Amino acid sequence: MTGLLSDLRFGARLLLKSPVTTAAAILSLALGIGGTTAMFSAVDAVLLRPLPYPEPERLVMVSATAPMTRGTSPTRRGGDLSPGDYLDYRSSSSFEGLASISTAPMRLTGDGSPEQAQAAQVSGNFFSVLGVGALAGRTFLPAEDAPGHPALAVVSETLWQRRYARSPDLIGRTIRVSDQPVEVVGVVAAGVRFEGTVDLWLLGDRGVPRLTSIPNLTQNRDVHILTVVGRLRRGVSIPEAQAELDVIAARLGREYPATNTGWGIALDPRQSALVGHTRRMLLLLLAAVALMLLIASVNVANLMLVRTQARALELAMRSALGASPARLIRQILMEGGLLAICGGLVGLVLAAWGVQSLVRLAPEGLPRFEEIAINGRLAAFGVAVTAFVALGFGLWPALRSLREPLNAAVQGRVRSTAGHDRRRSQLLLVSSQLAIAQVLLVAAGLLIASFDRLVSVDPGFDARELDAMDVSLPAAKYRDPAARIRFHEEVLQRLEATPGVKSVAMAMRAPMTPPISRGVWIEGRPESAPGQPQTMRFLTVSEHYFDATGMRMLRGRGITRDDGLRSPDVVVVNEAFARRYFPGQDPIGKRIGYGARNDDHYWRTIVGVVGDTREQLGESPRATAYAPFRQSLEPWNFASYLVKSSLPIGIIGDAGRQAVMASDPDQPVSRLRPVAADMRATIATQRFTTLIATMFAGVALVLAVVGTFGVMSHVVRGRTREIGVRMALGATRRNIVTLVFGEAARVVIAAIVVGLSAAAMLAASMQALLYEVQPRDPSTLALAAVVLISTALAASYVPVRRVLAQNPVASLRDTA
Amino acid sequence: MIALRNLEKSFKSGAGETFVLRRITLDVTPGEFVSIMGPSGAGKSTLLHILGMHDTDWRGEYELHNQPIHSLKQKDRMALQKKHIGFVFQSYHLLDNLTVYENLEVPLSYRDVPRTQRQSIVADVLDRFQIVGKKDLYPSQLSGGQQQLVGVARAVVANPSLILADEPTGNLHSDQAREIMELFKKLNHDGTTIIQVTHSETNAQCGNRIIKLRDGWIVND
Repeated sequence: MTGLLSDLRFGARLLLKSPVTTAAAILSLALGIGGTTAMFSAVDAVLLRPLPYPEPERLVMVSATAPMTRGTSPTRRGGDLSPGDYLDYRSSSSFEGLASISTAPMRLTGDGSPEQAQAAQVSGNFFSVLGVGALAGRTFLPAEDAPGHPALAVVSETLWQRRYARSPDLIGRTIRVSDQPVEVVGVVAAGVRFEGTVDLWLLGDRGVPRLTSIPNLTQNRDVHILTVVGRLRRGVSIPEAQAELDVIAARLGREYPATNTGWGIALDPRQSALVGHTRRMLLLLLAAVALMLLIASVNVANLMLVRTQARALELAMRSALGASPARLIRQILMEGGLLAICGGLVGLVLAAWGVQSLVRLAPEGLPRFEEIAINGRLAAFGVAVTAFVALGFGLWPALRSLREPLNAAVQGRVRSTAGHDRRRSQLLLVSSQLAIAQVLLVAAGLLIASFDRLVSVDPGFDARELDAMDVSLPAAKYRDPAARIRFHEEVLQRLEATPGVKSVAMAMRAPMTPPISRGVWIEGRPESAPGQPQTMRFLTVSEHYFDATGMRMLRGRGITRDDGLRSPDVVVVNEAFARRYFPGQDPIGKRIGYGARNDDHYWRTIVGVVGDTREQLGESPRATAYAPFRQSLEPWNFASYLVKSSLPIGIIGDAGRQAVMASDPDQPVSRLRPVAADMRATIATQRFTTLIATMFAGVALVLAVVGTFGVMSHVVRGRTREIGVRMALGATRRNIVTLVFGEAARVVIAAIVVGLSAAAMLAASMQALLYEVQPRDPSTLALAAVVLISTALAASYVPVRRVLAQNPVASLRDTA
Repeated sequence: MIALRNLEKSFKSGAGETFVLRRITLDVTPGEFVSIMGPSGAGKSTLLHILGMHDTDWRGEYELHNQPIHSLKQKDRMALQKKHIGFVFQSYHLLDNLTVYENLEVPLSYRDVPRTQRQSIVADVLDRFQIVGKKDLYPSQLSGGQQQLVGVARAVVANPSLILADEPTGNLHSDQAREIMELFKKLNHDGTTIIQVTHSETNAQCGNRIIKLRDGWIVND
């Protein structure tokens, strides 16, 4: 025990004696452990850990697949179901239950000031399908969504806390939601989320939303608004369930040709549907941090090699004084162990900070990020890996040097081949570090280039000085189209009268928020298959919409105040619509149809063509039609007001709230924000990925360069005698620089060749994350190589200069 | 060949100055075999390294072949050093990762001698020193005497007019030492000026002039 303590004390003293080397080793260990633990914790929480529901492997998402249309890519997955179709699929025998959910902001009144809450209208079996119980009270019973059943609600814990101060008598109380009385039956935990945060769960009518202004919704097969999740019966596989639903889809296509021809159904496991779009990003970041761990480990390995080499004489002397090999090994292990412990502790601190930072930096909407926490198993793994490296690379050269004859060590004459081998090992390790850093630099470079292209994309509108705020009008109160139109007109008038406001408009959806998708018919267009509709994006807008958003009017005219209920039905389409449905023709004067076919207002004349806009910066523009809101008889009760001004957003918000409340004191305004923020949000995931990957690449480069500097310093120091001899034999400073630097340059160039080759091979897997950048983009590869060459060679040159400045010939002095 | 006038070297120590060499004045004519002797710390090796232009931190006058070294730029000094001086070290200081052949070739490559000519010169020196059979061996594969033999061969490969040897037999046993000194005598006989630092009276007797140093001063010449 005394020996152990003395070894520990000696080890600590040695570490403190060379603070720079010790700090470098601890930092390398800490970065490797911390980065890996934080990132792997994220991957574990998001991708690997099962969903917090019982038997989550039986949960599947059921989505509608849109029919193939001319000129489009094959069938896309991921669409909502129409209510009529959902009720038919509920008859499937492959599922214990198929639950529906439709989210929308809704107005809460009474019990305080009006508030916009995120509500989800669900089927009665929703909570039983997920396997979620109540925190207080109860959840819905499957049979409760029968027609005529009283309206019920389950409140989230967050809303219960925020609005009702966790009052236990909320259970059984009636609250008002969109002016409708609803009885609260229970509270569920805040962690119960579905497609985002939900404040309030409302019982639907057989799973179809009750609180809606769309009439006869349960029979509607044209409006796709239900997200559906199912729990497979035990023993039923996804392919088996898919086969059964395909039969039902085919039957619906025959029975309802006008709306269902060509529509299919797709099943995806709930977990992959939830996190699928983040999988590639997380795996890329995990790969990056694993490479960083590798570099950190190599750094530690090199540092340990250097330390042990420098102690060859000390170890030989201890051996001569009677220390057994076991005793010497124990001493080395103590030192390596101390380093590993210090590195591990700092690494865990870094990991905790890293996890907090990941959660803070992560864009909104990344699924399950709120569940990320330090994973103890993974932290232990990281510590074990780096400890193994520290101990292994400290022990191995020490064992070799114990085999050297004592007198050789005392006289400094170790086998030249041993010194040569050691130097080669170190340079090989440095080269591998630099090669790995090269791979990371290329990956970061590609992401940066991609992100740069993305932010340079013209969205098609001008987001400068443009703010947006949303309203969701209660269906019951605003069922009459005239009431909706009047409401919007009054609000727009008041906003226009606000001093400092340049332009005001209203739209069903603000720019950068996806409009609704719906079928469209082109009059006179020959159809490839009877009853097969085309699809388009659709929104209603006010007359100043194109001005306020800076969209370019290309042909014809825009929407005017005169486009009202008594005027001819008109519509403006974008370029993408014209290209898709009227290639090579002028669409002005042509007619398109949408909505109920027997509606008098079904057909609309195209009066203008406007420039394309993008819903997401990285996506191509979609065929879109803009209809005057004054001609909208359909029950769209959500709207955004757009205000162009240089006023602070707080003033715009106040003006908006006053303008809205003057028409309806109970109508809240929600989501006040600059439109530019919505634009930034569409690339938030890419920004996050680029930021994190660049950080890792930067850290990896620093680690690799520090490692290069350390090894080259040691190598050059070891060659001081040789340098002195060469200078004594007539070598100039240039000869020496060329000699030593040449060796470093060969190491760096080898690293670059290997690194670029590996990067070129691996980069193909990044294609999905890149926008308009090829994985083997030559300029990015070249730039990454230049960065590595310049930093690594600079790190190699400094030790050479230092040795030359100290007159290496002086090292040849054998006697005073 | 060599003229030193009031050559001095010192370094600052605390508030004062410590002298390593004091007012060294001497002349060496071509063909001399000079031995510099004295106790440890006398300044022998320091003087030798100044003569070899390994040490540039000194004052006074030093002329080599009538060239004023003290007033030449470093580049010009190095050119003169390459042209006229060969150095032999006590610890041989061969380059461990080069073969014997390559060790001999290195000084020639620093003198921009063309490759074919280098091959010829090295072959000649290997033959002259009777170490042809060892040309592909590494220093670690040679005995101490053989290494010093190579060290001497390397010093003469560029045909210098002056050889400076710092305790050339210090790490050798007597037979090997005798062999090396015989070699020096032969080189001197062939016209090479030799200045050696030595503790050995026997070695000093191989030369024709002994300079004794003590505490940085010349006390006997």
